[in-house]
Amino acid sequence: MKETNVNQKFVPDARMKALIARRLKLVIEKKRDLYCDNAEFLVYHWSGEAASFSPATGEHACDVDHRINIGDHNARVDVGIPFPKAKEMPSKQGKFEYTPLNWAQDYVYFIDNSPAEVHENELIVGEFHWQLDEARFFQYPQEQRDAGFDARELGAGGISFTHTCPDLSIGLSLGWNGLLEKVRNNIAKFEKAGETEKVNYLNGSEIIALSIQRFIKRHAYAARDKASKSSDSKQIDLYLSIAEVCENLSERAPQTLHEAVQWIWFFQVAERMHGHGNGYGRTDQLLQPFYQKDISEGKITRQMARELVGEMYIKYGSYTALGGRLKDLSDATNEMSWVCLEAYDLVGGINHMGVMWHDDMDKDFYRYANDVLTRHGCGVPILVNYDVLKASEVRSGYREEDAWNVAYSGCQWYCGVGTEYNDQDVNSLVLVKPMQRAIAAAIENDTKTFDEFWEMYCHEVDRTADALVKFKNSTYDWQAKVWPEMVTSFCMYDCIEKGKDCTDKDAVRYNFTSVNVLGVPNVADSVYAIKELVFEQNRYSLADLQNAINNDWKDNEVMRQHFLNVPKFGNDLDGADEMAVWVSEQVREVLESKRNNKGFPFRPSLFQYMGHTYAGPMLGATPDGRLAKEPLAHGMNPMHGRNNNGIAATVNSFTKLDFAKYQGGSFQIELTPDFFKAGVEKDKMMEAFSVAFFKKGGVQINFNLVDLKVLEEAMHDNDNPAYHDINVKVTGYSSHFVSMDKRFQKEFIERVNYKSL
Amino acid sequence: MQVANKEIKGRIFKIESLNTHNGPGYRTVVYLKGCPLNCLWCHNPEGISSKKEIWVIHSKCIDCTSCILACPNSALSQKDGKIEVDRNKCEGCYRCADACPSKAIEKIGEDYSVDEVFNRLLKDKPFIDASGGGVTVTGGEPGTYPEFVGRLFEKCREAGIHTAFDTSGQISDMALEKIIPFTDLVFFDLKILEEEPAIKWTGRGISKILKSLHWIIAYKSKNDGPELQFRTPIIPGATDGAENLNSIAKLISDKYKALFTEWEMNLFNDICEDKYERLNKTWSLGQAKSDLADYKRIEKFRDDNAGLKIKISGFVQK
Ligand code: SF4
Ligand code: SF4
Repeated sequence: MKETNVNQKFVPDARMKALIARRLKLVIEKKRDLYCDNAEFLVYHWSGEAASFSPATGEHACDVDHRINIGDHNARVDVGIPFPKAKEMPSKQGKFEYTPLNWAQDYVYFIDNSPAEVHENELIVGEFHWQLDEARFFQYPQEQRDAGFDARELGAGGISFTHTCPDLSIGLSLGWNGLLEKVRNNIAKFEKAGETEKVNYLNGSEIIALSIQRFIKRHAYAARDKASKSSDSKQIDLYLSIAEVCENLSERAPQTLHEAVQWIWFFQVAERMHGHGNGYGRTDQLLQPFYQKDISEGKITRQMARELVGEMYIKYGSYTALGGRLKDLSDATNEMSWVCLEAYDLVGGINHMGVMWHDDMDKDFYRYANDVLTRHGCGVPILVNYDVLKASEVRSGYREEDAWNVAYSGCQWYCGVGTEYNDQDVNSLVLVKPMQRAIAAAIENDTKTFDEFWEMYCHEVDRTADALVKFKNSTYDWQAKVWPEMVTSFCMYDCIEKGKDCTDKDAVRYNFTSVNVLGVPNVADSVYAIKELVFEQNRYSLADLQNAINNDWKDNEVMRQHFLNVPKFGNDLDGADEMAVWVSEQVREVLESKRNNKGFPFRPSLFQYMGHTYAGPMLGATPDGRLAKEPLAHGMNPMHGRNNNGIAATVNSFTKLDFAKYQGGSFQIELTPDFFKAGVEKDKMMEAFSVAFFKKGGVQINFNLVDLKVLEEAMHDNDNPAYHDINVKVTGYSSHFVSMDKRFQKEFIERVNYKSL
Repeated sequence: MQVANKEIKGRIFKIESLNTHNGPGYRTVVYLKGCPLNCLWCHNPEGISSKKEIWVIHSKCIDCTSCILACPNSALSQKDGKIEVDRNKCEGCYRCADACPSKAIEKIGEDYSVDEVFNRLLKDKPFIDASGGGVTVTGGEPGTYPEFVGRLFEKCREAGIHTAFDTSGQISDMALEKIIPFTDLVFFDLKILEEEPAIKWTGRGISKILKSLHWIIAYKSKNDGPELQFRTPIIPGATDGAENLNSIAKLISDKYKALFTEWEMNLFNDICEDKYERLNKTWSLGQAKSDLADYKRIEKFRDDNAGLKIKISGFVQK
């Protein structure tokens, strides 16, 4: 929905308005875009080129014409040039080594040479223009890459890179001096024990902590400098306030809400400089003590609190969570939960917060969340089912005392705060591939029964999973040396204490490998159609089918229609839905039977961000009647245009799966404004819908209110400023519609299938 | 012995969940096939005949002619590349629809038992419960199936599902007796109050409708409920004249003022035109959709009759 059409509940003042205007300007000027190298990256979550997303500049950057824009949800602010001192990086001057200390030396040089900027009207400062992978060599050794190509051949892939959720309360309570002291104490401990490798790691941590302190202090200098040159008294007050806060934070722990918000933001800047993708936990829990103290001391008003949090959202609407339960299972909603949501109502725009519903949640707060969601109409906040998140963590093997502190942390995933490094959303298993091999094998063996065919399919899924295991293990052997995540590790439990990076083996408490399974609904629909038409009705042979799909169904329209019109998942029809459950359970069991070399099982997630769009042509036509040019199904959502019995039927099909057994699987709803007839209270209807959905066992809702006509116009007139402020929730992440890749814009429009009831 | 609920059937042409404009909360709306009236503006013309029918979605047809071969009554033919249905020959056996590979032929009307529909409602119950919603039967004229609707509503009552009955009033007293005691909300259509124009536009006079209304009012005076709402479709040239609206206003304000909770005036649109085409029927109200001037006029009528609890619904092109 267009930002300018939103009826906000809280009105920004001139200062906030100016900051909001700057945010939009950066978007229009394409300064917040995020890229990957190629379509393979989106499908297999590994490009075969860069070791992660595409660095925007530098030696591993993909050329501008080939890279794919994933949307403008980047915290980095592009300034149009590469990192000016890339050639002088220590590893390029001296010696490059695959060690954390060598990496740390690069990081320190990098942040020391990143500017400290203070912009007009800001109260919360900190911005960055480059990521370390634009300046430091980031590639795994050949053995890992070879395993990657083998896995891709069989239909799997993945990176390992900053997809976890640190616990910022660790840093908020210690401050940088406290963190530094903790590091030094552990250095002394390991020196005594003669554990050089750990000492070296912590030596790296030490110089990084010091460099972050310098970075913060430089902001104080910059603010004072600006204050001395300004004549506007209001602006001078802002600069001086910034200077004071930064001076404090460069050393001690935060003591006020302003300081706490600034501390969190600096941490994110320092951390995202070495890679983006992490969530930041439960903001309402983190900030509540500071807010309460400030309020009771009369230091702050609720509106000031909204503005501080709102400013952080303007900088970057990180993945954060509100609500959920506390350790004693009581409702965790507090006053700060309200402030965090109100802050969004104040500043709007792109944001990635999630509200974690449960049956005992403060009803007014949940109503307000639905009010914000339907009034702004762009998928903020994301609604998730806390009890299902927690149940799935417990099922995976989480200890109760850790599992309660789970947070919605990424597009469509969640994570134990500070305790888990699990590669969420960066691994892929493309289920269509094993199915294609099973069809070929069944033809070769002249298979006569469905059971035999199914066995071949299971065997092929297993082969793909094995290839993925090999690739991931090879990555894990190297990850902590190739690209440690040393800033993140400050706020992870046990890392500093163990002298190990959070990416390393035996560092954090939980190290599952989570895998996005792509194409479950297509494979389920395909296998079901094969079962019906090939094995039960004997209407077509597998060879006919293979021939038809290899030719993209050309000259086989009647046959395609038959395959297309066998009942499909998503219509609440038992046979087709049972197959979808069967297919997803099968791949789940296969993955859970495999262990990574960190000692933890693999786990499936049933969601996608963009892979389904690009996978279509790459994989060819499928036996569900799909043409090659069509996208695959979006996560576990039924294939576009195949759920013709309305949303309720789709929900019923969808929730036949037990989401506590998976690591997420969001339900995507795009509604046109007509859906809510005049006079209907949108917030109440959305609330009722989501509560019913969650009670049926659903785990996440990504919701958009979409005016199709406007989007179609926007797609053909990308440069028209009238369309620049349309935000959409692409999957779990938000983006401005005009900055999305064309192909993805098209898919987004096509998936709007609930025009009206 | 009473016939079991699984034996009692209604002919249904659509069941829709999560509907938001036929009663409070999310409604599961059950459309029953068959109506004693024949209103020229009907938005669900496929609900008028109580027979099983088919129609062809030409855009889905791939010209395979399987349907023609499947029809035992030679009711189908191909003309100018389009499948045509001879409605006099078609007996609604649905063999064509089953044979069609692309599902271009749709079945209109299938028989469901009370239990089957109730089970479907149970699936929607979480949505119904969370929103304070319920079930709404409409059509066609749901009173065509008194036993079916009565039993369904009885079961809903037991299960705590709110029931709404949308009727033209052209139904028997026996139907009212079976249905109303289990009904929480009645939508009662008041279209035209004068005999002659009523016959002209709806095919029937008004006396039975008024009799049903009195029946419901009498029932209400002895019982606690059901809630009553009136509905008037605003059809240009047919129902929207000042005289007609005033006479409806007079009827309900004189006698029933305290007995109803809302009078809904539904502005007219032509989004059902393609349904007429598919049924090989002519749509005589081609250009007659409500416009902004109509909206203004109705709005004024509403403001002039403040006590009549008028709500305006439907779209107009603004
Ligand atoms: S429903 Fe039966 S009778 Fe009617 S056209 Fe189809 S096949 Fe023929
Ligand atoms: S069977 Fe279906 S697709 Fe074939 S001609 Fe008839 S209507 Fe068209």
